[in-house]
Amino acid sequence: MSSLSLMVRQIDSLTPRIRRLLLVSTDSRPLPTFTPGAHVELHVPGERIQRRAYSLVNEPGTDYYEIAVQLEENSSGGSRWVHSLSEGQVIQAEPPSNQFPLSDSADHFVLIAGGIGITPMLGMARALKSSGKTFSLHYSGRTPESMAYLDEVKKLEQSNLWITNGNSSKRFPARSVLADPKIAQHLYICGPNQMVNSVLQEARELGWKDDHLHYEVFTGALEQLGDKPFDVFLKESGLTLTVNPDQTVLDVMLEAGLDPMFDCRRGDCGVCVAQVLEGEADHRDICLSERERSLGSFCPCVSRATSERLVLDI
Amino acid sequence: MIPTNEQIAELIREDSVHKSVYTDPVLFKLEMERIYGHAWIYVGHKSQVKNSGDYHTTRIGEQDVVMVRGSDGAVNVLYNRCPHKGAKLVADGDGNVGKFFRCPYHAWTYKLDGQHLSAPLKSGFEGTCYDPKHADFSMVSVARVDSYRGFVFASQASYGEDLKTFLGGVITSIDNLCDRSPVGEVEVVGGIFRVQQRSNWKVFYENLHDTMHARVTHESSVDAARGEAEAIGEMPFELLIMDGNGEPYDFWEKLELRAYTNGHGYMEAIFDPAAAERDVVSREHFECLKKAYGEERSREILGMNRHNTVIYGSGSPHTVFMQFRVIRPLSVDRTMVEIQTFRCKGAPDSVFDRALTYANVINSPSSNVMPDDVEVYARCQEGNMTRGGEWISMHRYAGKDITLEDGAISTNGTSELPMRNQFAAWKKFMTATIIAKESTHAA
Amino acid sequence: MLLDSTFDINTTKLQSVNIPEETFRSIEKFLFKEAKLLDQRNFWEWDKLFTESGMYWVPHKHEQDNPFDHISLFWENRMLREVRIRRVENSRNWSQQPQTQTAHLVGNLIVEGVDDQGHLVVSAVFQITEWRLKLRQLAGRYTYKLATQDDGDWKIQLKRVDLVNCNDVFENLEVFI
Repeated sequence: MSSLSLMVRQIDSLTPRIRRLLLVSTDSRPLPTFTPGAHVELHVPGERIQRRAYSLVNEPGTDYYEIAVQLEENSSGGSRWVHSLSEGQVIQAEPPSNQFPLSDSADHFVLIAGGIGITPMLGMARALKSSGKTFSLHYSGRTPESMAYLDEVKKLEQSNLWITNGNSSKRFPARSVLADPKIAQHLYICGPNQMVNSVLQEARELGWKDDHLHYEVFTGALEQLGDKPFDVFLKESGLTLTVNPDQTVLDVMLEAGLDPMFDCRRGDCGVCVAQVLEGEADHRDICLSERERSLGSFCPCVSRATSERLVLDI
Repeated sequence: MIPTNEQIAELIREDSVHKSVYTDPVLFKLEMERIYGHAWIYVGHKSQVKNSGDYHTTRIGEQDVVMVRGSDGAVNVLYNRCPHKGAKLVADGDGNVGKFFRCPYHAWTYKLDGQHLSAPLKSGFEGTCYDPKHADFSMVSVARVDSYRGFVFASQASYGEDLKTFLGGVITSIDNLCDRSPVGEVEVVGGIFRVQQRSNWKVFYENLHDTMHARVTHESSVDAARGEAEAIGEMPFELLIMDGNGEPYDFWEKLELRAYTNGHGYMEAIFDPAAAERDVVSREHFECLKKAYGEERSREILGMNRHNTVIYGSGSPHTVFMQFRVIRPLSVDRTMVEIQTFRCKGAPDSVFDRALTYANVINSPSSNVMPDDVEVYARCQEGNMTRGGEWISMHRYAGKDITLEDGAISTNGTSELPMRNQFAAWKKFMTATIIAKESTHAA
Repeated sequence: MLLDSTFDINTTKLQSVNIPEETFRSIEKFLFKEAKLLDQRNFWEWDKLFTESGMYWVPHKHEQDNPFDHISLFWENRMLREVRIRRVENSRNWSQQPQTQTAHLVGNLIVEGVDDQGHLVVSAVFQITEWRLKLRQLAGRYTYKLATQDDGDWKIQLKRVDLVNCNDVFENLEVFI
């Protein structure tokens, strides 16, 4: 099916970094329908047109598509472009498709949302509420000001809020909430990688079957699902730091107050190159040659480790 | 046709020089190689690059260089050229590059000492002679870099006298300038004027110790200053400094002209211990210095009364009013002068105010004094292009100066000793035996 | 003292003001008269357009804050302006042989507001073609603090000249811009 022409009918700021857009058809034809959990891919203009997928928050059957987009600092262009749109502007998109559909055989849905991951989950919650199905919605975030749709979620009797304010002990308590899974219960989760990984891990340990676990992640260019944390020992600085799946070695070095050299943060330029003294590197740069990598060169801004510990000279 | 050393030597006589030294573009090119390519040339002051990554661009002869503060605190002077395609790494001016130089063309990067840091997509260099450790892939430092009390000099030759030996006795002017700070340090502040002269660089150098020109060249500004003083009934500082050029001949005759090898020198009135108390600003300054150095030493410092100092190839620092007129040759008939103003750290604000006022009134392109100089220099430049004679006269008191171990001293303040001294240095540099420099290429 | 920092150079923190069309026209006429005096080299008359304490300022730096801690191309009180005028008219001023000739074009007059002391602040764009041995083009923005006179005329408390190329390499600047 050919791409859709959509007009931005309305833009609202839900939080300082999250904008909601209502998109309508530019001609008399009705918008293609969809099922809860679906997304639309918008065409982001540029030298090469890129596609960026955004979950549909509205219920099927309306004459608009509702999406909410968070402005990402390390945006490859998509969220920045969305935040530059104005009302009345016409954009191109693919018709909705669904990689995250609600199961027909479930009789109870556990919906878990972290941060901007609320978008597909609220779409599901609205649809489930309208059709009278039972569900519980868990919404986790850092601060109330940063959480889109918070008021609407609060009003749902089936909802639970987990606002951490940076305190890790206030995170979504997977261990207690997911204990004792019932046969026809299905779990749907969308949020940052680390959260999704750790909740799924807990769920499996608590007996949830894999085919009852459904997840969606909004990845940045470089994170890959399945990344594990590892430790890095920095010889010159004398520090050992832990690198979580959603962090890079460079990130943790900067957080620790160190002052390393770096520039592109994409694995392009080679300015941050360090030497591996111990451990197995997982190279993700495009700067170094194979020979250089084999001699120990390593880009802390993007590369990781397959071993549990990595030792660098810096 | 490049003249031989004999031919060049013939242009300089004991008491006169041939006009082509000012007008011949071939000689200018040789000067850029033999003088500016070898002598220690003032690049800038360390205070212009206070923090790591700070840089200041300038020229040594015809060479674009960049002075940069490294992360280890060292001040480096590098040619402003990326070894990849030759692009200038930074645009002219001042700024901060951060932790490394990054070429705007292909993002090759260099540490602040010029060493190659990285280039993108290095698999493309495999099997070639690309070698980050080879000098061909790093920025090139000027051969020798050294500094004295914050004044950074560089020499494009890897051999020769060290900086202090090169400067010789003229270093005492740098000392006096810095000693006027109670902590012995100065800093460049307040902006830098840039003025262009339509004449050869050497014409300006000669004028700096030309005691016979002041009353004549500057008659209009002396008259204007005196006329105004009469009209308002007083002669404040701004008028006083203009009036100074109108001193009678016997005043100039009493000055001392000191010449040093390598073309340097100064022009000095007799030591005046009362200078410390002459006016309000000086008195304030004296009180401040006394606390640091004691009375006797403070009188000594403030009593040293040098009107102009010449550091040949670099320019003219003024110790009393805290300026440095840096002279940059642009072409055989164009010269740029960059005027730095200094604050003496720890000295009273009034001392800096006076320096800033002096800069505005005397050294600005709008000065009431300099334009007359610049005009007569331009007339010399043009006159020397005519067939109206071959030689430039430097006869005053020729043969009557007293030779010293490290130079000479005049017996009369209107001697043309400084000009003769500058050209003796010029001849020495221009006819020196040149040692060819070998370079190794990576492959 | 020349660098008396109590002199108010502020031309940006102003109260907005509405002035009648007639007043606007009279300011324009004043600026055109000023430009003509400069072009005619009638510098003594030009200097009379300033108040007693009025200053003439040509900053050296773009958006220069003040003339007290940074050099200026011109920072001249009446005394220094008079020295300049005396010198420019002196027959032994070698650098004015031949004399500088100018044509000032002044336009885009905008009323900026009123300062703390009640001066009307206005700005205008200028283009000057200058000739002495060769042509030179100078351009930029004039900002004036104007003091109203009893007879309805104006006097200049501050003329600030922001050249487009203020930190350029200059040959000499001999006459008022």
